[in-house]
Amino acid sequence: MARPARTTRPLLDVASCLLRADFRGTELYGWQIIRETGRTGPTVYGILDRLEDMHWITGYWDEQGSDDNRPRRRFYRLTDDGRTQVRELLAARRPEELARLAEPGDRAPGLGLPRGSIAPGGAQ
Amino acid sequence: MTSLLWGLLGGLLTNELFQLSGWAAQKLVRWSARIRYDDLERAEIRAEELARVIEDRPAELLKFFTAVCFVLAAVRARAARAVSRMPLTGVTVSGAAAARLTMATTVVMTMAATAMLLALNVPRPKSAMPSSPQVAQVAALPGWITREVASDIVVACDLAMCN
Repeated sequence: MARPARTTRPLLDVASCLLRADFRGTELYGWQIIRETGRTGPTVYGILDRLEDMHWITGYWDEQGSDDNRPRRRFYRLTDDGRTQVRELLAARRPEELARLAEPGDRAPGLGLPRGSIAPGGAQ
Repeated sequence: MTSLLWGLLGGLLTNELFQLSGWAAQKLVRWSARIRYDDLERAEIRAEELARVIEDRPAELLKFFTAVCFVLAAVRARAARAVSRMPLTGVTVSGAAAARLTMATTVVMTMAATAMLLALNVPRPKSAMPSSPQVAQVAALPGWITREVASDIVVACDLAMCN
């Protein structure tokens, strides 16, 4: 399993955001990640590129919303390996945040769609 | 009378510019994906995805500034890739040229954005306001929007100038 060459704050923010969604059982799309992390679009997508290259996350097209003429959303979720790696990364770099994420109170439904509501057969 | 005409003309022009900026943002962001990625499949995925990000983002001006940020980051990534692929001979000169190009693009974009921000923040007397709802919306933009735009620009400049 590949590991990031540099562990930057934006990387930790995005990883933490995805793990929080994972705890909630939801999946996030690009604009939600941008909004939740407070980072700019290019920064977030640079991180998503790296995480996809390392196979920590996987993306699915939102086929349900493709009926209208608008561009489709792409949802992201942590892979099994990615979840382990993100937990290890946060445990090393932001242990207090990981502990907070693991608290049951943080599992309340928030942004994102419930897992399983998106067809995983979308184009990669 | 002349000032009223200018006001009306300005209102109409602003209205058109607002509508144009949303369209331009979509075009810019799709183009940015295609210049950023060598992998054509990923470029097409990101082009559609980023187009949706722009659509999800509220306010036409913010859409445009976000698209400009994506373009700046893509130009920087493209320039960095071009420099890294250059043969050892002439690396110094070509690398400096690429850096200058990125810097010049950033400076021009930043100046344009700053001018627009300043224009938005300049208080204008109500009597001189054209009777266009879009202009009224611009005048009523809350401070956090301009701060958010400024933050986007600053981070984009950081992206373009660092490394």
